[in-house]
Amino acid sequence: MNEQDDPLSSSQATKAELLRVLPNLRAFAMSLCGASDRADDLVQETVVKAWSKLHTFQEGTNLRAWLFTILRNEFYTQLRKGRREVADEDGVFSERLTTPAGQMGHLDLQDFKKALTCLPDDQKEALILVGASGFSYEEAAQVCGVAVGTVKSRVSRARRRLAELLELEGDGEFGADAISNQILSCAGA
Amino acid sequence: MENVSKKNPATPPASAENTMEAVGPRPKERSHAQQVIGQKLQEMYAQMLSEPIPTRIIDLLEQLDAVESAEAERKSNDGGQE
Repeated sequence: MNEQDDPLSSSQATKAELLRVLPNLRAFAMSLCGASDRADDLVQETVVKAWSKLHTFQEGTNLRAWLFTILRNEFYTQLRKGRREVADEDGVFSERLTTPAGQMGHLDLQDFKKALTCLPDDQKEALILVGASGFSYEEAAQVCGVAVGTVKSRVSRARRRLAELLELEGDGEFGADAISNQILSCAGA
Repeated sequence: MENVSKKNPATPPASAENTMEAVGPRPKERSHAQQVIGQKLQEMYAQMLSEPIPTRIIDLLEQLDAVESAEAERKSNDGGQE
């Protein structure tokens, strides 16, 4: 058997690409899970799955979307099994928002992360994929297994919900306490 | 104390449950709030991206590679002998 006929050696390029995608994949996992230990578990299981299915991957197609799809499926499988709880281990939700609402431009990153955990998973993943991971709406639709229009609508709802939670569109009705209580209650603290 | 918040009248009304914003990238129409959200999202993500890949994941990849190489060698040896 010579090198060219060996499917294992022909996937070397794919493996190199996998390595390149890893940081993005892990960031996506962290965005979904919150806690980085769980995210790493998720990435680890994704890597094992991807490795065993590498021969089914068609070179030249979208490896990044393929990997994200595997990770996403793994995430929901674990969620269904109850292996991953929604509650945050680090206990960040036991704190109040650190920044008073309405001070635009001074939005604390921690507060943003807390608000993000309030979103339903389907909205959160759509927002992350399109707004941070660098996916097009079409790619995100492929990863999530839904229509492009569904992704668009989820992203749109996610953005509006965040603006509400962080009082960015603020009409001044709610004070900082009301907002933080909103976030605390939806975070299941 | 100066109130720096700006209200943007272009904010989509709550009743617009459809894909208003998603019709296409229209940064000019995006409200200030949405710009802030976009920035924070990317700031958060950039922070995560900048973290080194944990050694346990790198180790795992090396193990997988080693196992695979060993298997490939074994298979090619078997094929050669019979």
